[in-house]
This record gives sequence, structure tokens and C-alpha cells, in this order.
Amino acid sequence: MNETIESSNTNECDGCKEYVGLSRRSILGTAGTIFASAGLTAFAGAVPASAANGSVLVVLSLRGGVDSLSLVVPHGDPAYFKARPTIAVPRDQLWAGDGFFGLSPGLEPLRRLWNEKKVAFVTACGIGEANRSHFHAMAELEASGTDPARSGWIGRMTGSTALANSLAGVSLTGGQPISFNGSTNVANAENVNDLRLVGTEDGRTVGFAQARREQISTMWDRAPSNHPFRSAAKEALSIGQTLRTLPGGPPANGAVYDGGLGYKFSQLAQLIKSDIPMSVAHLETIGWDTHTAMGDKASTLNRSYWSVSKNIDALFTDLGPLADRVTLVTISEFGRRTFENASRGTDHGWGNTVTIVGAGVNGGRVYGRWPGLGTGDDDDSDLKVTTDYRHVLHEVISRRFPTVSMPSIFPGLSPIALGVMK
Amino acid sequence: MSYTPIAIPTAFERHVINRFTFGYTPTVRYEMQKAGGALRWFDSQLDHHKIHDPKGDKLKPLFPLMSMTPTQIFDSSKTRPINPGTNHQDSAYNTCMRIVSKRQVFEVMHDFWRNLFYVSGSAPGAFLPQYDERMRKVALTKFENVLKTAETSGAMRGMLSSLNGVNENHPRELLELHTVGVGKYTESDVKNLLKLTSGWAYHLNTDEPVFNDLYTVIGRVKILGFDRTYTKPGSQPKALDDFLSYVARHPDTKYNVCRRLAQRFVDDTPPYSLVKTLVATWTKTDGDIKAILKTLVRSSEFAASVNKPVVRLPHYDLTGVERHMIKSFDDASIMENLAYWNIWTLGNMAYGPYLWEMPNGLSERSADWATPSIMIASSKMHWNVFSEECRGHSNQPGATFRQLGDFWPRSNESVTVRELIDHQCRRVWGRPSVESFVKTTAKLIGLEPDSTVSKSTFDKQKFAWLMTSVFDAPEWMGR
Repeated sequence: MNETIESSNTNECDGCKEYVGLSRRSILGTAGTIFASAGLTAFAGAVPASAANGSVLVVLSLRGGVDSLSLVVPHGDPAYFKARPTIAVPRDQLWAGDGFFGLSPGLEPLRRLWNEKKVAFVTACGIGEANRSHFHAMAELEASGTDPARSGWIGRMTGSTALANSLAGVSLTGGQPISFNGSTNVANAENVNDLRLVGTEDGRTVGFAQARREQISTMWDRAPSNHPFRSAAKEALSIGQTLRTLPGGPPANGAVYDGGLGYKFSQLAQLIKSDIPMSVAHLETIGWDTHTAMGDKASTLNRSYWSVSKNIDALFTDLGPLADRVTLVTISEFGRRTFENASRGTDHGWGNTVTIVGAGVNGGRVYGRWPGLGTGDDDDSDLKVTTDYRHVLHEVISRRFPTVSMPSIFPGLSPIALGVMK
Repeated sequence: MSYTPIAIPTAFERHVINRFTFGYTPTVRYEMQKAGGALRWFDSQLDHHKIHDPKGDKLKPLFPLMSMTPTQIFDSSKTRPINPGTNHQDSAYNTCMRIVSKRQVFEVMHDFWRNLFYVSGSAPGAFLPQYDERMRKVALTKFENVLKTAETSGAMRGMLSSLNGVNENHPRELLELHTVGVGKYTESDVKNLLKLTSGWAYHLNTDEPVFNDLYTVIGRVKILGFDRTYTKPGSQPKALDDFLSYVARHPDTKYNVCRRLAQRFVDDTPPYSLVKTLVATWTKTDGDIKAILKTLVRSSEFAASVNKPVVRLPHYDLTGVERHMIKSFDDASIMENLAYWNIWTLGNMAYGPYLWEMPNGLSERSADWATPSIMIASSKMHWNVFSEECRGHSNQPGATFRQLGDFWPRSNESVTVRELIDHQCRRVWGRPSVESFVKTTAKLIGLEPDSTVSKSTFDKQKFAWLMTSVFDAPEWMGR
């Protein structure tokens, strides 16, 4: 090989341009150019065609412990207003109410999907035993099992033979969530357009890219078997190949995304629109640990509910008919205590609300057996869990991915039919 | 003159450098030789005050906020916005120190404590420079000092909502993340500790959180095995100090912190025997950090981990590459140029300073970082640092960068491609080259291993790919 390196080519330096302009959105617009590069069939990953165009499960992780009682408000439970004298959501701000529950004003952007019966809530839902540690509860929620390998339920799902391919799971996060542990068929990135090894998928000469891939393969083949990056480096090559088809372009159907989370949602829409055989996508948002300053309609909490709702609505709008493939589920490590604290916030609690949106949802309803909030006098009282969150996930996955082996995802669980999915 | 390979360290010397500095350079090997070996060098690093560090000392005046009190920062922000802001200056300063300072073990330990006692961008910015400087002062003293510095700081109290607030956030994380650990405390412990962590206020024009609840009698306080009664009004500060002294010596605190040290410096799942040995030193020396580290580096478990690579964490990677690329930081303009680029780049590597929002800090588990996306982000960073195309990095004002000639074998205008690659491997990995690496890298840059190349005419683009390859290799990505 004696080809020269094209010094005029600046594709590799999109990182610098991005830095100089600090415009991530402009990079999104160039994605088509980046990935429309010379084909390199020698390293093309084997992608089962049947995995593309199938169902997609979107898991939105609300980290910090969402206050369920401000989301799906139990205004019919007298203890609610008693326990929260300054932060309870007033009845006149609620919508879609019945005699007992009403929805937060922050959920207003979900009104269209709610009216189409594509949104359901399961209240008093969570992990089996109260645990007020963020990190312990998150580990339990995401591992959903106690196997010594610390695998996560998404990892077990994407690792199953029914879905196995190099990008069965994508997490739009800088770090890999615990739920993805135990599978090599997953990738994570803040920006999916970054998921290519430099020099391997760009507009340089075909010979150069081939030499670069050969170099990377060779050097990692000789890495010691206990090298932590050994499999990750080779997987990185295969991911770059699979991701070359991202369509780019603005959101469709007038969809408008909101903020940084909206950027992630817009990337998710692109992944779904492409022919990538992705079965599970994971996004996360933080800032739910509301020890202080809840209650005001303009509070951060309500703004966060609004932003999440707005982006969910934008995703399903942007996807058009493809939305029929997508079901979104929210998870959060715990709910918050019934009683407001002296900082006008709430401390860590137990029961929570799971929101399910999209394909196959028996929506327009609030599910779950209400356990009652007690007297409203006990500052240590929780919303008790009456539905193990795994039953919700079990119902969603088993209906949307009928070929997946459920016992391997949630070992030991005896499923209970909730009726939340058609 | 024929090519003379530069000396490389022994496996143990390289291991100590890999685990206790922000990246191997031939200069550290030289310092180690001068000190009389790896262990003597390590011990001398623990006496950080005695280390002559002109490049590190020169940095502080370039970052004005680092010498300002919270009040001064607040006052200064009243007249004009602080730009770059506190988070930026503080993390830029830390990153630059890690690149140029001779006090590498000290900087590594400062980083270790800052991650254990993590504060995110939600902490009040005016307290961040103070927090870092105070944590530096105690980084190599006793654990009790580190704990008290962290828990009473405006930064930590702000982060965990105990300034102007009464809630369980701070007491829970103090017990769970900073001391005894999950499963070792009860809800009653949290409520009792809440009596001591509440009552503090932060006014924008004060340098310290102020205790403003002088009339409260807290009475009996029972937390873990701590059981005392406080009957004087305003005794919370004293009670909190008493409790921190107690919990700094609690067996579960010792175990957790020693395990975390062993995890960072030895292995993801450190042998129990090592943790037990470290705890014994802790008990004997009342939590003397230097003594614990000396025990760790002399342990058979540390020696045995020579052939068990851990991930080069993203911030080790970036600073390690720049330890090769940067000669010196020269003036304050670096803050808006290279330092900013560094912080932005770390963000792309999932390690952006202050971007992680949760109080548990970034994972110390090496395996958590061994993902395809980190590999991809690292490789891109390597390329961006060396590429002439990237104006985001090199040729920026405020710093002196090494040029191609500085990487060339000394006394050789012309060398073979094989020799050139070998020289870089020795400089960066502290190891000789490997034939398959030489062949595939030569092919990548369109040359034969035995072709002769000259310093004055060697293509900079080829050189950038060569260096990217050296840093992408398993020898660098693991350490």
C-alpha cells in the first residue's frame, strides 16, 4: 500500500470545528456526509435483517428519585394535602382528572397522546423493598437480579439470541448504565455521530481506512486476554460500520424538541428512522432529587416534567408512522416521602409512578392498586409499592418482543397480568 | 550515527508510574533513577512540599480565581461577570496541574479525594476554588482532616442541600458515600445526623457557611455507635466535629476507604488481604494517608497487579497525552484556549469536570470505562492533539508545544520508520515496539518499516497518525 494521505481532508477534525463553533446541532446536519463514505465490505458487520424494523423499547431513566405524588396527583386522598401543606399541587391546576387522580400541569404536552389512549401510568410502583439509597436502589432497579456477574436487565435482553446483533442496545449517555451490563451488543455515546473510530469511517482513501482497521484489529488481537479494552476496541470497529446509515436532517411533522434532553431524543428519532437493528434505547435525565423548593408551578420540578413530556410528544410526532414500533417506559430509583420537609421539598421515599407511552399501550388510564397515604401526620411515611416494576417491564417486553425469553431477563419472576398493554 | 534506543523502566518501575502519575514520560523514569528506584521515588513524592516544581508553581497566578476567597469572587462578580467562570477555572487549573506538576502522586491523591468527596456543578461556584485548595492541603495528611474539610465546606454543603436547608440529603450521603457505606447505617442514624448537618447558612458575601441556629439544644445524638448528649445552645458545630472524629475512625469507614484506594491503585476487585493490611496500617497510624500508601505500594498484591492492566481513565488519558505534547504553560491566555479545549474534550470522553451530577462521583471501577464509546472518544482525542488540522488544540497561545523535532531520536537526522516508531513506543509506553505494530503502523502511513525518513522533511500528517497509533495501542490504553 503506497497511497498518500489526503492532507486536505478535514473530516477527521470535526471535533475541532465542533469545539470552535460549539454547535452540536450543526454536526448533526453533516451526519449524512460523514457516513456517506466509501464502503468497506471486508469488515462489514453481519446484521440480521429481521432485527431491523422491529419493535423498539425506549427506557427513559429519571435519575434522582421522581416525586410520584406531584406527577399523578392523588387529590382524592385526604392525607395528600395534609402531608404537603405548602407544596401540594392545587386541584385547579390538574388535568385529565377523575375523582381521585389528576395529572400534573407539567404533563400538559402529553395531552394529545393521552387523548389517543397511548399514555398510561402505573402508580405505587417500584422495587420490592424500600431502599432510600439512590445508588443501591438504582443498582437494584437496573440489575433486576442478583447474579454475580452484575448483569443488567437490558444487557440480558439485548444479549438474547432473538435480538443479538452489534447494536441491539444504544444508550445516549456518556457512561454505560448498569442496566446494559453483561452484553457486548450495546453502545453508548452522548452523540451517536461520534461513534466511529478515527480514520476508519471517513472520506480518506479506501486503502487508508482499510490499513487503519487492519492496524487496530492487529494490535488488539495481540493485547493480553485480561486487557479491559480488548473486546471494546474491536466492538468499536464494528459499531462504526453499522452506524453509517444515519439519515440526518431536521425533525419531521413539525416536531419541536426541548433542550439538551431534546437533542438526545432527536438523535433517538434518527436511530429509529435509520435501518439500524436497535431493539432497546436508553436515555436519562437528572435533577429529580428534589430535597428543596418543590411545589411552585414554575419550579424546576414542573419545568422538568414539562420538558420530558414535550420531548416524548416530539419523538412520537417526529417518527410519524414509525411510532407504531416504539414503546417508551420511564423508570426512577424510588419515589419521595409523602411528607414535605422543612426545605419545602421531599426526602427519599419508596413508591413511584411508571409512565408507558406508545405502541401497544392500553392508555388513557392510571393503573395500580392505591395503598393509601395513611394519616398524613407521619413524616416518615412512604407511598407503598403495590406493583413490582418488573411486572410492568415484563408485560411491555413480552408483548412487544414475543420471541425473547422472559425468564432470562427477569429470572425467578412470576408475571402478573396488569392489562397495561394490549 | 546509528539509532540508540532510549532506556526504558523495569516492569515494576513502570507499574508505579502508571498507577501513581498521570502518565509515563522518560523524565519520570529519569527522576526515579535519580531517587534510587521506584520505592524511594514514591516515598519522596509523598513529601510533596520538598519537591521543586517551578512549572506547577507557575500555574496558580495564571488562574486568578484559585487565589481568591468566596467573598472576593462574589464581590468581583458584582462589577462584571466572571469569565471564564469558577467551575471552568477550577477544573482547568486542576487539569493543567496534572499535566506539568512534578508532584504527581500528590495530584493523583488530590484527584482521588475529590472524586470520593465529589461535588458537581450544582455546588455554589464561589466555593469551588476554596474547596480544591483546601482538599489539596489535606490530601496527604490524615483521613480525618480530609473528611472534616469536605463535610464542612461550602461546596459540599451546597451540593447536598444542607445550606439554608433541613433535609436528609447531606446526612445520608455522608454516611453512605463518604464513610461507613450502604447497609451500615439506619434511617434513625440519618435523622440523628440531620440534627448536626442542618442549621448552616450561606450568604453570598461570606467565606464560610455560617451556623445560625444558636438557640437550639440538640440533646441526645445517637448515630452508629456514637452516643452523646449536647445541652448547650448552639452546640451543633461542636457535635458535628465530634461525630466526624468518631466516624473517621469507624471500622466500616476504614474498610470502605481502603477498598476504594485498592480499587483505584491495584485492581477492580481488590484482594481482601490487601484491604485488611491497609486497614491495619490505618489503625496503627490513626489514618495517616502517607503510611497507608506506603503499605499499598510495598504490598505483594500491588506487585502482583503488574500484569493486570486497568483502564487508563479518560482524564488520565488526556493529561497523559498532553504530558508528552506540552512543554510549559506560559501565560493566562491558556485558560480561554487550551484549558477550555481540555475541559470540552473531557466532556466528550464522559469525564467532563462537574458534569456528572450525582454525589457518588465518577466510577472508580475500571471495567465501567472499558466501552467501545470510550475507545472511540479516546482515539479521537489522540488524533486531535497531534493533528495539524486541529486548531482546537495545538498552536494555541499561552502554552509551548513540543514540535516534531522534539519527538525525534536525538542525534539522528535520519532514521528508519521502524526506529522512529520504536522511539515513540519507548517514550510513551516505556516499552520497546512490537513488530506487528511497526508493520501495520508503517503501512498506515504509506511507508515501509525499513524506509529512511528525515526529521526536516517528515510529513506532519504521517507523524500525527503515527502518534495517534501509539496512544491507541493496548500498551497505553491499559496501565
